[in-house]
Amino acid sequence: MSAFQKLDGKLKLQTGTLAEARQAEHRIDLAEADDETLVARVQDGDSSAYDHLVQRYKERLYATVYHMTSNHEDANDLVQEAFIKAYKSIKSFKRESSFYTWIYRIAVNRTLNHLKRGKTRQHFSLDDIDTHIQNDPDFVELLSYVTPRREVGLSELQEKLNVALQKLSEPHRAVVVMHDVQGLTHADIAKAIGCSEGTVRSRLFYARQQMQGLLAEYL
Amino acid sequence: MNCRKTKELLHDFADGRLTEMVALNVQRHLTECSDCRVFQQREHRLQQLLAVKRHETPGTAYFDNFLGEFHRRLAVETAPRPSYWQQLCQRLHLEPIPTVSFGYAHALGAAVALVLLWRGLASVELPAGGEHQDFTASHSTPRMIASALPAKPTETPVLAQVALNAPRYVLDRLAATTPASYEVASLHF
Repeated sequence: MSAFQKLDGKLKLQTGTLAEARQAEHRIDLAEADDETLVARVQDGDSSAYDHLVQRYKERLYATVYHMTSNHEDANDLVQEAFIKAYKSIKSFKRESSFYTWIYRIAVNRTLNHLKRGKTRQHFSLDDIDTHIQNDPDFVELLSYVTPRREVGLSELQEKLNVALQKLSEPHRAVVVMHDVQGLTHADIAKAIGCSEGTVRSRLFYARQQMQGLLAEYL
Repeated sequence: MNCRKTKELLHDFADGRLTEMVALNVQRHLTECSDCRVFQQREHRLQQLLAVKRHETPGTAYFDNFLGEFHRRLAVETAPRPSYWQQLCQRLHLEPIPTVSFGYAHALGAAVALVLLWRGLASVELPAGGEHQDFTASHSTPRMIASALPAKPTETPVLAQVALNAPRYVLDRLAATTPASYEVASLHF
């Protein structure tokens, strides 16, 4: 091997290492970047920035959609579709709201349309309950109230709760999930669904009344 | 303040989001109305029950392949859609013609086949109904075919006579030899 070839090889190695280092730096940059920066980069054509947005919000979106459908596969499909829809129309996103609000709206609207079409899978595929529930003061208090009256298993409670939720109409279920499970404010829900705060309050009131009737034996 | 209004405001009351005056009115109504107090307690337990939903999680491993799945679906979504021609070929289980030059080649082949077929038809010797025609390139084909056909049948064709004498039904023909009765017919299995 000639001296020139050796030098060329070394140069290539150094260039390769430099490129890898730059890529790693770029990845760290993106991981720490805020939503607005990531969205701007995606709009400029850097599709790898979108991966970080997906990683950031997949679980939160999944939770919302799952609570509305009570089915793993439906929730997974709908969240994937929401991310794809958002990616395809991100050029038209004007950044007037946060990216999360925007994609949340897309996911909720897709879920509501999906539920209206009646294409839901009929069986429940309930997620597991995490171990933190044993330390949740709300749950501990409820159990101390219900258990002396009758023996109640956690899975039984979970199933009854999901059955009761599925008996609500789609708009009422969405409001209960967003407010009572996810903890969103009336204003945020109104924005996400595209209705007035008064409508949100009214739906919430009606849905809770219905839930009280459906879950009377535990209340 | 009536019961309905109180029930509507219970959540905001619990969260401390009401003005002092409205909160006072709700508090006063609750001390006076036992129905609303029961409703308030049940509402509180419903909130506690909904805590179960907050702890439903699919597990950490569930999202491991989420991004990969996203990329796979995105690739399918953004892939160019096949043209109508390609869709038709797929339906007919045919290989679509991939390029224009292939298309021209096929068109040329079809044209050559048509010419050959045309020439083949022209050179066929038609049955002699009258005089023998000398088919040459100067004659136009429709005229040649028309003149090659017999002008008018002079006598009843043999086939027509056979058809006239033929039995009308299958049973007519059988009647001449065996009785067409299902009762007397012996069945052999």
